[in-house]
Amino acid sequence: MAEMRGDTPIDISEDRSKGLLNDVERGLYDFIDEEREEDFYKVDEGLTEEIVRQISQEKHDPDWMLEFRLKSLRIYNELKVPNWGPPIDGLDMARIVTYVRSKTDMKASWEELPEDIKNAFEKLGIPQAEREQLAGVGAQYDSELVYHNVRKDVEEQGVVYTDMESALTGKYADMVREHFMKLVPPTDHKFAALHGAVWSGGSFVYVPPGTKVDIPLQSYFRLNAPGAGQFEHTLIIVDEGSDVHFIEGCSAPKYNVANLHAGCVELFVGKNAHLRYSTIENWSKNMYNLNTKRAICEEGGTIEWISGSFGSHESYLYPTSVLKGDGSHAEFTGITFAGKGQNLDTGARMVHLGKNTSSFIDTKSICKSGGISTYRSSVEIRKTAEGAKASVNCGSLMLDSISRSDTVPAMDIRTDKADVGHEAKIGRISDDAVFYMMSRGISEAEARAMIVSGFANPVSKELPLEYAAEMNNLIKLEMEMG
Amino acid sequence: MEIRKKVNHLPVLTWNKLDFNEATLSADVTFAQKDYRKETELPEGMRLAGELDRAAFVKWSKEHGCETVPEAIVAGKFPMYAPEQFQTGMGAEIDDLLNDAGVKTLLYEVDGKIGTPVKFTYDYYEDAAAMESVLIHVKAGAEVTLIQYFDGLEGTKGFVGSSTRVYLEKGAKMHLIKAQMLPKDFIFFDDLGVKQQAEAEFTFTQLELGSRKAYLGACFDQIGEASVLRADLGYIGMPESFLDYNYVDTFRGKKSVGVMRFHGVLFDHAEKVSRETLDFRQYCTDAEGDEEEDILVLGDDIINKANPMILGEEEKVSGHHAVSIGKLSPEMLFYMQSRGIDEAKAQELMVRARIMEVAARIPDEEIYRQAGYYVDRAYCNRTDCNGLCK
Repeated sequence: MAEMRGDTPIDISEDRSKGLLNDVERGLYDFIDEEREEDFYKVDEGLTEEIVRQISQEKHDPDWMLEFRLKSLRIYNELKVPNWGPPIDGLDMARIVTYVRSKTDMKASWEELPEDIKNAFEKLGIPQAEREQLAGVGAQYDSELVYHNVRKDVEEQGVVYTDMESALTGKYADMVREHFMKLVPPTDHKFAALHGAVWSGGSFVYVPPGTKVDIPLQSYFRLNAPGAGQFEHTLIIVDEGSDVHFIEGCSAPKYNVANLHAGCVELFVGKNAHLRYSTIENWSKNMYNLNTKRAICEEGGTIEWISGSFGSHESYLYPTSVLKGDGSHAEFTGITFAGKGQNLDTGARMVHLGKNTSSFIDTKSICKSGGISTYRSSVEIRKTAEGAKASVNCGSLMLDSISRSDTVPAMDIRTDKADVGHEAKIGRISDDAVFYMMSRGISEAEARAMIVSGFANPVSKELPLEYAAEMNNLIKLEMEMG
Repeated sequence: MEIRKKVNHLPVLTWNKLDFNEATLSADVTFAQKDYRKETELPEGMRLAGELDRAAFVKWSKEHGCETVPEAIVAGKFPMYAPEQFQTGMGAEIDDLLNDAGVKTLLYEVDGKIGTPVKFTYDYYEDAAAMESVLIHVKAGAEVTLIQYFDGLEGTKGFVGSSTRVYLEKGAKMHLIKAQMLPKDFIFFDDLGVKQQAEAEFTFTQLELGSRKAYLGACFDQIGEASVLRADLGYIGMPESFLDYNYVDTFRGKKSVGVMRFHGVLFDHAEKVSRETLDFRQYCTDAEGDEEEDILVLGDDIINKANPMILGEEEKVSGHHAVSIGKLSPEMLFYMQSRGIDEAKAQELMVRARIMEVAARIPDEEIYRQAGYYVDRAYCNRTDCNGLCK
């Protein structure tokens, strides 16, 4: 019998096919709100200098930004598509619309939003989350933010949380120019260059020295237009001794055409500052998610990444931490769940430059129904990083034999004064564990779902309660028997 | 002859900037038609069955089911596995090199249980450039231990290459030992490909102590049900030396078991690149793979790169790998010092323990003794005694 592993047909014996779990549609995220032509402005499909100039003009860019975009476009045209990851042949840039904007202005009240956009975010529970547990919210719909609000008490602390466009021309324009795509230069890879050329939307956060933001800030990205790309830019600067938690969520309805997400996140963590960056990514399964995230930590600074990757057709996602300052620290805790039709290539990269720096990677991968999950990482300890410590722990759980799970970790150590440990395991759900649970009255499906949730626990316990619940719901959805 | 060959391909590509995906073996040498292997009387049950040119080797491989079929495209748009006749760790370009140099493959057949180890000693008593290719066919139920020992006269230089293929029929057993103790101005490569049918057991012990540059590749293809592999590599990266290796254990048979252990020491300015892969193919149910790398780093300006991978397309398997890289732990040092052993001596003890643990698996007194000398000499060099105590 023929089944699919990623995009490749494979043969499987009939007895094995009986044991496969069916996939489910995720209606919660896959709802479609038809966009009326007259309510939206969009550029033509494809990527040309004219389109880049059009986007720049539409966004009222300063001159330097237009130059930056055009330079990025030139770099994009020169760089090759990666030869090492999931195939992205199905992504035709000539068919992607790089800029789609609702004709509504950005609002600071949910009530002022057009009904269709407001409904989309209501269904995703964003306004409710804001009321209950967030210090500030930015909501992006297609290419631009449509809603932005920050709590008054947080604003009074001096915390700046605004959309990138306002930041680019407002009071913080110089700060933005000083930091924009300095951590992820357009020369980094082809899709960083693409981002540099057509970016729009995203958030700017500045936390002044000695400020602790007790409750999280959140951005939510919804890509609703079929065949469109989303290229938001998130720039966060956490100044000396400050502390903040930023959450991003993403989703999109499923279409029969390819959508593209090539966002960019740049995080600057100051001396003795602390930043936690949490993501629950649930793009639809027609999405190419080619996202770039990078943080740099000064002396004593800490970056913590919490990452849940559930959606998208194909993903390239490897948050990078550059530990520049002595005594700086990075942690990456991630889970990837690859189901039918998904090829998710995720992981992390740690670069140790400063003395006595430390990093910790803990990841879990789960694959089923022909999904392909690849954990890819590197730990690079440079000659200057004396006293560095790094630990990597990755576990893979395969739920059937038509799926695939690969672990590709690399280590490059350039000093004798470092300690590095790495451990990886691949396996399946233990029959004994399922039998034990079934003997206590739990159905096989429930037992398997519980075991998978337990496997994912190191990630879910790091998330705020409501996001952990969302993640567990996603796992439950993925695990449901047909 | 200018050699520039792409070798030791990572089974799955990763970021190009890390420079892991392959290595380049380069040298400029003139090969002499000279045999540096000492005369060895083959025991009863083992015979030289022929010399195979490339066409004959390909024919033999097909007849014995050792062809590599192009595998499914999985990790990217490029084939994961470079198709090669009877796959080895270093890859197809080594076969091209051997062919271009006119090296034929010596086919040995083993069809009895050979109690005492067979030893091939390669003695490079002068500047040398030489390569050898052997194919060992161990028939059903047969057993053999083969030692390949590469030694040379101090002060000589050269280029030495060894290609070995092993085909183990059902229930066959083989222990292959490769001990390389060439002088420091040699470049060395060793390429191995192994096919194991059902219940075949293969033990591989490799000791890399000499040469300035060494490239090692080993590909173990556990085709048959309940086949068993045990592989151990011990190495010392002497100052200014370079070691690049690629070990791949492919599980195809049900209940196949593979264990790989790597024990290394790196001194000042040494560079090491390692690729270690456990590759579980579909239908290798109940296969178990375990791999560990333990590296002691004892010098400045070292480059230590490792990429231990697990590839899985079968659910019902168990795979594990672990890597530990670092200096002697403060706890260990404290323990040693509390018993009157200073830091330098403690280091030497730990280096000796790592290397001699591998050497102890070699049933040959001469090699065991020489391995001990190499550890002595590593420490003599570091304390400017120029190896006089050897």
